[in-house]
Amino acid sequence: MPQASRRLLVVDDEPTLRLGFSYALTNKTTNVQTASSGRQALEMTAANHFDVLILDLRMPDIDGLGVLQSLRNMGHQTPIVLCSAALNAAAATQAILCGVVDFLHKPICPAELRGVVEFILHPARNAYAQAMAAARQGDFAEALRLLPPHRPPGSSLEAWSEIFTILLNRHHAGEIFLLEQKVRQNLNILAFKVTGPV
Amino acid sequence: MLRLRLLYGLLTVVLLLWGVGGAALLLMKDSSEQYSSRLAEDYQLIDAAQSCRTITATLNSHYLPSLAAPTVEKIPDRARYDELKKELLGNLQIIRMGTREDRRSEDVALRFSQAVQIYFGGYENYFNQQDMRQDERAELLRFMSIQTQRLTDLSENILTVGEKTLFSGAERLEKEAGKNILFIATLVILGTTVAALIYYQLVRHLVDPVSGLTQSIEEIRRGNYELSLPMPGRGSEFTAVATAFNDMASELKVHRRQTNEHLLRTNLVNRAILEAIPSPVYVLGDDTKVIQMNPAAEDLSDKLGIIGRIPLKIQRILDDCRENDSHFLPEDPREALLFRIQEKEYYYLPRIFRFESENESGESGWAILLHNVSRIRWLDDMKTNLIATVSHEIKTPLTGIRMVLHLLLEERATKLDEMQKTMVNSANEDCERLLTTLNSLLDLSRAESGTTHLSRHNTSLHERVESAARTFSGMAKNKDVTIKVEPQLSGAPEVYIDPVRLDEVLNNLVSNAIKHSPQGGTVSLVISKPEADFLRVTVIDDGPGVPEAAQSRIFERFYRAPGQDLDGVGLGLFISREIMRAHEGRIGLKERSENHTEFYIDVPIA
Repeated sequence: MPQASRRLLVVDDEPTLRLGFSYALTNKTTNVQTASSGRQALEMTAANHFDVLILDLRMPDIDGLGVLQSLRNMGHQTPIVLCSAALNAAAATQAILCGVVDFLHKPICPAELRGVVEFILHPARNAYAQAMAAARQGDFAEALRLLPPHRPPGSSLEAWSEIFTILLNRHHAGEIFLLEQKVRQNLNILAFKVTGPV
Repeated sequence: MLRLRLLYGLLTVVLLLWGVGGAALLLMKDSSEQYSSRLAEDYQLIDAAQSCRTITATLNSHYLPSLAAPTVEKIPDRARYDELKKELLGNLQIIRMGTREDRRSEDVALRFSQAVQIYFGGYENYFNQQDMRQDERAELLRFMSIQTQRLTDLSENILTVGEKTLFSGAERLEKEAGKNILFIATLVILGTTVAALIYYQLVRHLVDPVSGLTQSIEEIRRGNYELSLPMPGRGSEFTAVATAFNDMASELKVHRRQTNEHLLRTNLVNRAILEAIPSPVYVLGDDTKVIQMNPAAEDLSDKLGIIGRIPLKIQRILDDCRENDSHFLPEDPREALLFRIQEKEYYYLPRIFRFESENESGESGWAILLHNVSRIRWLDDMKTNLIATVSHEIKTPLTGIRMVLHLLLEERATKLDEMQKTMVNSANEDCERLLTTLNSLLDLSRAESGTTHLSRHNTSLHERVESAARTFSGMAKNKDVTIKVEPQLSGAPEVYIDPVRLDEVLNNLVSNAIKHSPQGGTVSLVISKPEADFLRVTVIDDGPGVPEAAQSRIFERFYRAPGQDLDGVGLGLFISREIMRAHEGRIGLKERSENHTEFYIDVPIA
């Protein structure tokens, strides 16, 4: 039986990329729309429901973080993939605080794009996918509980567990600095990998 | 001249000495002679008086008994009488001579002489009357005894007079001796006075010039070269000294004037140079007190509100320099210090130079030149920003192109023919290469702009090394290379680093080592502690090594060793060096032999 149509929004100021993204993601079960700016993205999200947002960081009017903040302020808990060539620790930390745990480093190949959307829309039954799904909902305690117990040092599992721990024990603003430091150290491994967690 | 004066002076003293001695001797001799002659004269008188008495007694005892006898057979011979009379007259003569000086004694002598005449008259009577009667004889006898008694009395008087004269002679002699003492005392006083005069003369001519010379030398020592010694009189031994001294003083004066002129000129030149230098220059003493500053430095200090002092930031570096007794001569404009002047930012690269005079004077201090690198920094920042911006601007559409190329190559909807596929593949490869280059450029700009913003904390270096080994385990496996991490150094301290940036360095070194390792080779990671302040990570591979010609250049940006067909644009080691520099650490190459390459980094200990 055909699954219900999923609505995706690609927000990027680069036309070729919008074209490519929508081409890569469009299939029988998905409906891909594009926005060329932050403002347009906000207008579209206000008018329609989207299941996943693919959000660029650097945009001319309202940047990715601005869109993210506005959406969360309006109460939208839409899963968001932050996809940028200029992802830095500060931006990633802000995103994590807003419940964004899926990152892509441009340039990306179609497989990665499809993989991350699949990872969000149809999380696998494994502990990692479930934990990230919980984190996406803002439930860091559940996410921490669900993470597989075997977290080799230097792996993304360990990094995520430490980040979740910091988020749970966050009592004052100083902790954000700690979080950012952790993110900075692990920025590369936090990004989504088609091959699974590293 | 002085010698002559000395001779004269001493000669005078010696003459005086001789005079006094001679005079004393003469006086002594004279008085002793006078005394003995007086004594003899006076004694002659007494002797004569005595002798007169003796003679009368002898005459009386010889001739008078015949007068006392009842009968006179024959008058004794008068020969004896004549002899004795002659003697007595001689004595009388002596008495008269001896009593000449005094009227009273002369009178006594006269009377004595008359008595002697009367006495001798009695004896003449005696001899002329051959046949005297007894009563006549008795009369004569009586007359003779009276005359004899009178003579005795008078001689007694003469004796008295003689004794008196003797005594008065002694008194006179005493008076004479008193006079002599006075004379000698006068001579002694005169001698002393002359000696004193000579002493003052000597002081004036010998000591005064010497002390004057000493004073003048002292003056010159104080720097008063204008002074000259007064010329002593002609022929003085000090003339030569004074001349030499004055010559010396005038030469010193000339020399000083030359030195002053030279100093003045040097000073002028220095000032001109300092003023011509647009950078602030401070010259400080050993105690870091500002001795001199050029107008630019005054201006800077004024604007910073620290008139006459050096900025605090510089002071800190200077303190470090003093502690290590070293110069501080950075070349890299990125080591410049930021100063905010009137809301504007200025970058000054401080160059601190210690100077020490070569001679014994021990002049030393510090010279600080603040090289304004604001413009260089600005240009550098501009360049970095430009690179970053341009790279990003190129990268963004490139990601789109790459995406599209990938989608085409997927051939999901339509199949590409061989030619199309080859072309798209080629385009994709170009795209990948372009992206690699752009990423390197971005890394470069990040390295250049970002190394000042390190987020450092205490970290275990061993953990970072392990992490790097883990990161490249996949890549190593593909090439059949073994990564060997030496066991942790026991008791190794933590290091103070930015883990993300240090990872970049380690990753760069490890990936380079793997890249250059032969199939089946080994990459070793060793931690050691070569110095108190650093931990060292050595990355050893058994690849072909770095060509000698390239060794000095591998840390330059965009440098790639010739003959390298591997990917990369030659920024890895440059960025690594920048990161290590920002950490105040070191990076270096230590090649020990062929097929054995060693790179090391020295990481500061926490």
